[in-house]
Amino acid sequence: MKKRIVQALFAAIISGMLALAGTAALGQPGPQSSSVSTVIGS
Amino acid sequence: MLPLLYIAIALIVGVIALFRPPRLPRAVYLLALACVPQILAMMGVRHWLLALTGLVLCLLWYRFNRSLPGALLLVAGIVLNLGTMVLHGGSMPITTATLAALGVELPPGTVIMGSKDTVVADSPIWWLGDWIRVTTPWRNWIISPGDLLVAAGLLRWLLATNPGKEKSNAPYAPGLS
Repeated sequence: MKKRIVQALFAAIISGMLALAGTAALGQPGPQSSSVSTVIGS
Repeated sequence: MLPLLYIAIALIVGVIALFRPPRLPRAVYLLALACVPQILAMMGVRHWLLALTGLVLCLLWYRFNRSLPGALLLVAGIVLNLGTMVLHGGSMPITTATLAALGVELPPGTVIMGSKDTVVADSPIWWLGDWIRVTTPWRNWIISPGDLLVAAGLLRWLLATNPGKEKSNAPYAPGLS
């Protein structure tokens, strides 16, 4: 059982890394979102 | 918000893996290294070379895991996403039209912090960027075709192992399965 928990933990970490390294989703920003910054000159 | 999505994915996979232990991939350190440029992108540090570095590291990871279930779908999605980011200076493009359809008005060139996206007026490969709307009870998401492939690859990886028929705890040996 302990081995299975460790394996599940590894699977969770690996899936998180795959999602981080390979996806590019965007949580819908609000109309007045403050989490934006404009790149000057782009 | 994006880190929370990744944590949610990890938690869901962890729970599923408790009941259906998947074969673990090799060369995980390459994945860990490939995360670094993406973390920088979420912090607003964008450059095509960073995206290319992540892409090369993921392709190297695939080299070690070709026979892992779902690996081809995973790498196909990663190539679509990171390839698109390479062509857009290290950012995932999202068009003003896509944002306008969501009721959000941001000028082209806006870097959306905490994500990997930059607003563009138009792009010849806009369809490889973020434009697919996914509604969840938690939050609305805008995802790319590459994201769908990565999700399909993760599912394939998780569900390919049949606990009743396969010794899932056996070390993963590419080319022998």
